[in-house]
Amino acid sequence: MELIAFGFNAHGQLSPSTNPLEIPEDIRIPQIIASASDSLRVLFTGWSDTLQVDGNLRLLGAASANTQLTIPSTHLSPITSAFGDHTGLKGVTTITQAIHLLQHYGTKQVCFGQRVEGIDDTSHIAIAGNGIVAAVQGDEVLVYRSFSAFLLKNARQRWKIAGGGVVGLHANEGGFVVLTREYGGRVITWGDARHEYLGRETTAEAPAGAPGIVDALDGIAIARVGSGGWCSAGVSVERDVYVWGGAGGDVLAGRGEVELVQEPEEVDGVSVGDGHVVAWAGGKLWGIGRGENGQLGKEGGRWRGEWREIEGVCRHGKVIRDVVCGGWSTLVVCQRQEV
Amino acid sequence: MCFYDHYSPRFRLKLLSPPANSKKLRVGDLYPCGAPTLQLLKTLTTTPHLLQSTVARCTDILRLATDKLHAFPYREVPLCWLRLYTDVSILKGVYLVQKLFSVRDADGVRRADEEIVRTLDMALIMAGAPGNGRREVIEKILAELEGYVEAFLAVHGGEVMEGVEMNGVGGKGKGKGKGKVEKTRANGDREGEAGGEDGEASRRKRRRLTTPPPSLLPQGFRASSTPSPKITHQIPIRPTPPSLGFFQHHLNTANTPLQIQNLLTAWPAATTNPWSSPSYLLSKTHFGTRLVPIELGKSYTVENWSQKIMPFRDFLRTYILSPGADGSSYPGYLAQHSLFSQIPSLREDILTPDYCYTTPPPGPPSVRTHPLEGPIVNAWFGPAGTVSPLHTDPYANVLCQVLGRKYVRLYPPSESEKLFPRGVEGGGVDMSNTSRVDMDAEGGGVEVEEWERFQGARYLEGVLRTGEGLFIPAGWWHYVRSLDTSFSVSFWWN
Repeated sequence: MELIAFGFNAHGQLSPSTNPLEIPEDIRIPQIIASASDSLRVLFTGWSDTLQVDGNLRLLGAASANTQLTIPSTHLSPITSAFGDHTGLKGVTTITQAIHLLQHYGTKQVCFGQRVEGIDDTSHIAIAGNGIVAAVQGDEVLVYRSFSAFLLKNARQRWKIAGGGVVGLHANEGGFVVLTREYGGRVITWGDARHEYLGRETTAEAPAGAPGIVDALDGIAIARVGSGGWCSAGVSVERDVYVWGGAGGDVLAGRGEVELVQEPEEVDGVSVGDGHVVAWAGGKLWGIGRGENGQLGKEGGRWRGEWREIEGVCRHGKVIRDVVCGGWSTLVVCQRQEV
Repeated sequence: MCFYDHYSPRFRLKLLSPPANSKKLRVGDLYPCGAPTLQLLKTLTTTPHLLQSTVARCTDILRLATDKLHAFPYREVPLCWLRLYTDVSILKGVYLVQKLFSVRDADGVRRADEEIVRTLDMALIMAGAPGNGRREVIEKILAELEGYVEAFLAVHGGEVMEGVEMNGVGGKGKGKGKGKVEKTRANGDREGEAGGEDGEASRRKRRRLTTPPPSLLPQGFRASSTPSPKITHQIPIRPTPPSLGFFQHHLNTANTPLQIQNLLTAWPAATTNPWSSPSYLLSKTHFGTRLVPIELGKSYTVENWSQKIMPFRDFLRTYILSPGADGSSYPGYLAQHSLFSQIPSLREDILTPDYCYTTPPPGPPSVRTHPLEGPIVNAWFGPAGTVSPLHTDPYANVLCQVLGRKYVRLYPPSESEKLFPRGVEGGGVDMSNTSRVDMDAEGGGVEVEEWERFQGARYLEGVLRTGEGLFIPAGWWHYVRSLDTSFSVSFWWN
């Protein structure tokens, strides 16, 4: 298995610089930054940090003083997800629904602390660009004004999730996207009323600030969603890609609308960073959106309005196992095709 | 003597080391930006890097700050992002100036100049340039830059700007302040040229000015042929500006609108520094490269309304001198913009009316506000046909008409019911100070019964002409439509 990365690297979060005084260059030509014989998973990639696991927990970026560090994990149950914001990686959730926070951020002594006391029901957590926190706790989604409010269990709003539970929770600049298990996969969004990027019309009955169903996808079983910046995307069980939102003056779909992507026609998955969307199938990768820092490969610019293949990612006939986008970077896990 | 000698090292030193306290980062304010951002900023400013990559990293941080500026409603953006946006814009501007010094061709200098102006203006417009001394640093850099570019282009034979009148090499900061606009005679000689320059340089300049510019700007803005509407309920007119005492008494008693003639006779903008001259306006806006926010579309109550930030000369060319040049039939309007805090030298062309130092009675309960320290001054510049739909403001207002005619209709607060104020609209915006009635639409764009009720409301109206001022008490509904190319300055106070 190989981990291939491209994009923003000013904190050394993809590939640290050899000279500690230098700001490392962004990676525009996809580059192998890690390899493992067994499993390799990217838990988090944000604006300034990356967390990978391949038996060992590896941290890169501002969190680990712009170097690559292996940090202890024996005190952690298996990690299910990681979360953070513009201040960096903040913590992880584990299969026991506990939360561990990152401590000594920015030093070589960085590590995860013991589980946060009193929190044992959090299966998902995400932080939006405006500081709002959403968490799936028990059979509810709770919204907090800030991360401190979350730690103090001071929820601002709460909603029950209809039967089946949550598959995924993703934050973007002003809100959230939730994929529930209902009807084989239903998409719910809420967020900033001012930007019409929720993939649905906002009305008095279905306001922007409260979870609402993305009607355009109602009845379509969605397998996976992603969100970041003001862009969101979903992949159906039928392997179609849907996108909504935009960035700055550029849009992926009309106001409050969802667009079915014509090309690529069939994909295995999709991932969204702060303004770029990447979809993949087999050994191929396609991207759209922001590309100034190389997150769409060497040909990305301020905004790419059309889906185009990102070349030179998986080599030697390898296929893509997973892609994780975050901030302004793209990380691709490639493996040999199983015979 | 070449321009370069004239400007370095004194100029560069001044430019690259602004006053110590203005560049020091008070970490407290920026702390919420997060350790990664602050660390990156620190590395950028303390260790030497390739100039090109430093500028690129500044751009990266600005992109993050811009995203954060959009993540919150305008009034709720945390200070740290406004401070970060401003400081990194200034940093980028300084690095760009450094790059500029190595540019040797006229086109390159012009392009580099535009990029610096754009970078610094965005800090003023998007973030309001908070932070101790930041506005002053920006102003200073822009002033020095203007002089440098002017001098460079004078020597290198480039056109600074079509038809822009200039005072003298290196005299930007001082000469311009006096505001004497010098006319060029047919043979290109200048009247009243300041002495003190060597003959070679001034001869070279004279030679350049005799070459006609590629396309001449008009001397003034043409009045349109739009006839003034018939006035039936004229706003009371005062042929000469009333005394301060009279005005305060008027506020305490009637507190009704007044149309005051001959109010702006002492304004340089109406006399010695004519805002009626396109080339003068361009010369006050850094060759027209200063950015201004423009409202596009019929009015802010309509769906297709939007705002765009563009260089002043583009606004002038597209929306004022040839309206409709962008293909749409709707005007572009430089509206409600604090132009005078962005470009302080324009403030010298206007005078705050004495009336702004009186004490108006508090407005109706719905429009109470915090006391202002000084008047809020806004510029309103647009072609004929711009519309401000019927609305109220929470402050007393003197609307000063520097150029052109405007039709104004006023309704007292007591008639509010008949004007159907809007409620909270899509996006959570409180529009209760705006009427649902569209005075330019058939039937007001409202139900028949509502239109009839509206017709029954009492009002005052008038055509505000060049040199006049209109006093609008707080809470009075007003609708304004420009009949010519119009430049107004509003003063809000309480």
